[in-house]
Amino acid sequence: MDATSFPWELLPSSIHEEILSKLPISVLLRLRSISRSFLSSIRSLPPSLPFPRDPFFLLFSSSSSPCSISSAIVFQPSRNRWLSMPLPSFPATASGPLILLSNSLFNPFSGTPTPIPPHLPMRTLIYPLSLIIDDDATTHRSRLRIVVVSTSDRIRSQIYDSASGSWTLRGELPGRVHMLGNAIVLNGSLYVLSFGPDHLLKFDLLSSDWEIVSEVVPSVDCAHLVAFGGRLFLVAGVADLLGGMLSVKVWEFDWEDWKLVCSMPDEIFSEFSGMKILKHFHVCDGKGMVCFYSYSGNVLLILDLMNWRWWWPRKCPLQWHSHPFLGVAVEPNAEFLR
Amino acid sequence: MASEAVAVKIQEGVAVDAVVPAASETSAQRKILLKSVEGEEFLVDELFARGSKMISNMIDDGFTEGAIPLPNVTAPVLSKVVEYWKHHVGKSETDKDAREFDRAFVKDASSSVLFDIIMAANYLDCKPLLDLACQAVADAIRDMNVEQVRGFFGITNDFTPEEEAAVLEENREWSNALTVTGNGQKESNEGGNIVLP
Repeated sequence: MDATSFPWELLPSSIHEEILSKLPISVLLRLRSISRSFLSSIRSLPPSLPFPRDPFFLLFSSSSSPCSISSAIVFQPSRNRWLSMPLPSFPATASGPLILLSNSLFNPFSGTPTPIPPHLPMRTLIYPLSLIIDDDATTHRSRLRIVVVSTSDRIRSQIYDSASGSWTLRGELPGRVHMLGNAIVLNGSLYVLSFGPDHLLKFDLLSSDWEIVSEVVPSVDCAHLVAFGGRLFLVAGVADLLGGMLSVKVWEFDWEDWKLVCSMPDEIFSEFSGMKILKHFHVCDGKGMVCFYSYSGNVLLILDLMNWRWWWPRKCPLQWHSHPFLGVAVEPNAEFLR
Repeated sequence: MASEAVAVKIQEGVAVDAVVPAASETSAQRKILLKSVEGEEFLVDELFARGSKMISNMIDDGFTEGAIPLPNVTAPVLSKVVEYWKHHVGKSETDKDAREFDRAFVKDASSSVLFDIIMAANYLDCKPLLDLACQAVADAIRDMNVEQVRGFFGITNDFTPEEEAAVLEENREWSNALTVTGNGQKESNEGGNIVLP
């Protein structure tokens, strides 16, 4: 041991755990190369410890071609920095450390893909709704479920369950919808907005029942659902009759009504829209951080739902003006430390 | 109400809070005598002393006579711990003064002070103080590179070159900080944009 005023090796291992569990997993991964015993301490951290949140936002394809992709341009809010991560094809959705691609799951931290069996055929176009990962603290195993849907004269869903290794057709909601928005997981169910008609729908993951939770949704554009702290939020733009955005707001659904909880301040909105008429913007979220991007302003903005603070990320060194927006968030898994 | 100074066995360098009137106070404001490893005595409100689970258990077990010896805690450290209790015990978690105290406490603490506080808080079983100090250490090393962390903790690298390469290889794929400009030329890192080893 070298001379220091903070001799790590004189501390009991319980204290090592106290200190290490206050570091984001991405930092712990880096510190594995300090020494053999340090690596051993990191490896023996129980994955169920409440590590600080550390989402990585895969925002843009590194290639401006809409057909090919090999890596993603990523923003990491906890370090306010940009990096690149491998990505073999376009992402559908993500959860934890895994990204759902067209026929596989991909972990960008380990770079390893996991194939999944093809889904059962359905009559109309199928699109993925959600990837759900449940970590079993006792067995240290993860259960994966994937929900895909097709919408024609009704919504039909199919679920893949890693426990069985197969897809089953389960769940149906009569009625035509023009489109479905992003899905969130809350209290064992999926929540998703339908457009045309604009409803809030719920899919119970246990019973596979679909139901309409609310037939009233604020009249908005670019709607995006966010789940955080057991609460359901709607993030969206309010537009004038010509489709130009007037503001960006956040509502909370208290299981009866939509309550306005936050509005983007005017001066921030002006900078976000780049002093032009804003017709559209992209949103993605992870661990309570909501990322906004507008091509017209070529600017990224974050709202942290933990403290309702708006902040501007450091500018990306790369010009992404023509690069496709990806919009998924991943976070390294504590299992990864082993 | 007239208050009488209590005759307390005070030794040199004892903390200021020992010289307080006690005779007129109710049993709810009982004082506990704590003795550091050097033998210095600290007279502390029982309420604050119970900020330590260990001391709290001793009081409940009937330890009422004389001073509670704390052979693992030095006087300067005990003095800081008592300060912490006075700002936190009996206060709500969101108390502004307490948070301001924490901010200053951590800001002025050297790494050797943090080390001593951690050992003391662990021995005394005072979880909130332990959390505060451990968080301060985590915050200090969060943006350090591997060499800097080794220096901070006094750890020698005992990996063989092959072992070290194997561990680094696992990180390489995704930890590439973006330093390339639009036209493909590499730029030097901006301040604060840390490149991982």
